[in-house]
Amino acid sequence: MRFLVFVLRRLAATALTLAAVSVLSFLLMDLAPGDFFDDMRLSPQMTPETAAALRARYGLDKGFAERYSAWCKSALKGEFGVSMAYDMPASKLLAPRLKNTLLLGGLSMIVAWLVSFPIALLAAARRHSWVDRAVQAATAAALALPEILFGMLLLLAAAKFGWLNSEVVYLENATVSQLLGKMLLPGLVLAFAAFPVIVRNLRTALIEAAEAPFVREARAAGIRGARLWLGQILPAAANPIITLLGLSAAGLIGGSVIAETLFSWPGAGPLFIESIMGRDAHIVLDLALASAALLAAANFASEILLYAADPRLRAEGGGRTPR
Amino acid sequence: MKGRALRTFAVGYLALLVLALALAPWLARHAPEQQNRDCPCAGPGWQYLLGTDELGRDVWSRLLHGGRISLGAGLIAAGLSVGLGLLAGAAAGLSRGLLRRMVLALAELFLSVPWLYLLLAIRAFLPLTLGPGQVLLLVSAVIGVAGWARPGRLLAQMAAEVREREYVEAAESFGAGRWYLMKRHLLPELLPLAATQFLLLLPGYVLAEVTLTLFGLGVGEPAASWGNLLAPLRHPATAANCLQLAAPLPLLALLVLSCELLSRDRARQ
Repeated sequence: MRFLVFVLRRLAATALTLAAVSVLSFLLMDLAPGDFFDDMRLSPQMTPETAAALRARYGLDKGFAERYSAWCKSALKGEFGVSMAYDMPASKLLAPRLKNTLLLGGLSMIVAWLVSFPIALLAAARRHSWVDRAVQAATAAALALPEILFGMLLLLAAAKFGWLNSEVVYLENATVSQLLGKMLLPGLVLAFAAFPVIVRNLRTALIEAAEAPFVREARAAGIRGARLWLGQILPAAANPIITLLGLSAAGLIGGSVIAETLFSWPGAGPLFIESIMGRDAHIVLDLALASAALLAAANFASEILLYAADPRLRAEGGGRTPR
Repeated sequence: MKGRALRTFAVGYLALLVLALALAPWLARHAPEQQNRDCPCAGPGWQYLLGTDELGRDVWSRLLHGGRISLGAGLIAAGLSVGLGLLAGAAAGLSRGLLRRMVLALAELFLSVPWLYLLLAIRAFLPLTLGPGQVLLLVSAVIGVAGWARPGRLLAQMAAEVREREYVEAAESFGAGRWYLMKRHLLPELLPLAATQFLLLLPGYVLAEVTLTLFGLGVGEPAASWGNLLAPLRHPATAANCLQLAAPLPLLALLVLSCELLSRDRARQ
């Protein structure tokens, strides 16, 4: 029951935030000079009358309140407005793009965690050893190369050594190996950016948990090695690890714009840049909202997990946001 | 000992970078926009220290002059974000009720959209084509405003916490005015935090300029910026032939590393 109240409260807060984001984006758009059809005035087929007719068709000549309510109505219908560049309901354009982004982001996150986890565990277990120092140095170096820098380096290396296959792949009917081939480089950028953050925080969380009195007791009782680290210390570090999970997911959402655009992965990122250039207002708004919704979902999932993992929160939290 | 060596390295690198960028007109022999169509994509040599780009412009000169734009945009933007953050801190510290809650709610709202999406969305609604000077200001302003919430929330929370301390309440009960509270109790707590935040934000903001420009939303040609130097590398043919255009990459990586070292150093103190 308490859990239900907690969930409902969080959902309501998220809905409120998203509504506020949509209103503010609409206001921003209103202040912005120019619209989609301004960029088309150079086209010889574009007379001022045609532009005016098209503006009327997409409702650009109406006032702020009317346009916002029209967008809200279409959002309730599940269409989320209309793309002027593609002349189709936004949802049809966005759905496959978001699916691709989630696929790439999800796989990169799994890879990043699979690589980071044993490394962090090893560094924490052999603290102050040469392994630990090497891991520290490696993560410091990786931190100096955020998505944009590592992505450019990878792009250069790919151009130099011919890793970029220019083969055209239609994702709908691609084989798994073709799909993985297309995802390799952008996925590597995302995983590489997540790697130092995960390793550093995970190592700290594990070391903190390893200093608890009960771990000393367990050591004295002769519990060692994998039984100690995986059976005793890891569960005790569950809270920071879950928080880290949400954090790394949030990092991926932002970083995906860079990775996808640099390596032309047909996700939400390149579409976002494209619609900004073309002033395709509803698509910009929808994608900003979708990214906020994804971020909220990641935070929400980690809060639910925390709630499930930590009996203390269930006992005393009373539906308050766990920290 | 090791920490000190690293700090010396970080400070030394930043000082050297700023010095080189400040002396750009004297260190570079060619104007950044001067083209020499006879030798496009020339390798490093005596006439062109780092070679030329695909229009035959001196990469060394463009690197130095572009660094002024990129680092300048980062510095202005970080200053703006921290300044807005201090304003938020002051608002949250001096008022107890509605204003404090509004500041915190606004920060949450800005933080609810992922950073790069927020940055691009705000950029989306501003004019696309502008002169070089305007673009520098516009890009810095967009980055600075988009990023205010991170330092803003932190400083507002800190200010709210300081305001509730007993000695501050005591001062208030003695009749201390708002400006006295601000000067005597809030600012001494907020300023060091703001300085650390500045260091933390700076590399990300320089990279934000690079990202915006790389995607065609920042500083346009023919002006030089680090993002502008890197942009042609997105074409595989240029990337294979004109590797000297990647010169900003190591400088940026060292900038990120140095700021990271210094801010961690400050946080530890």
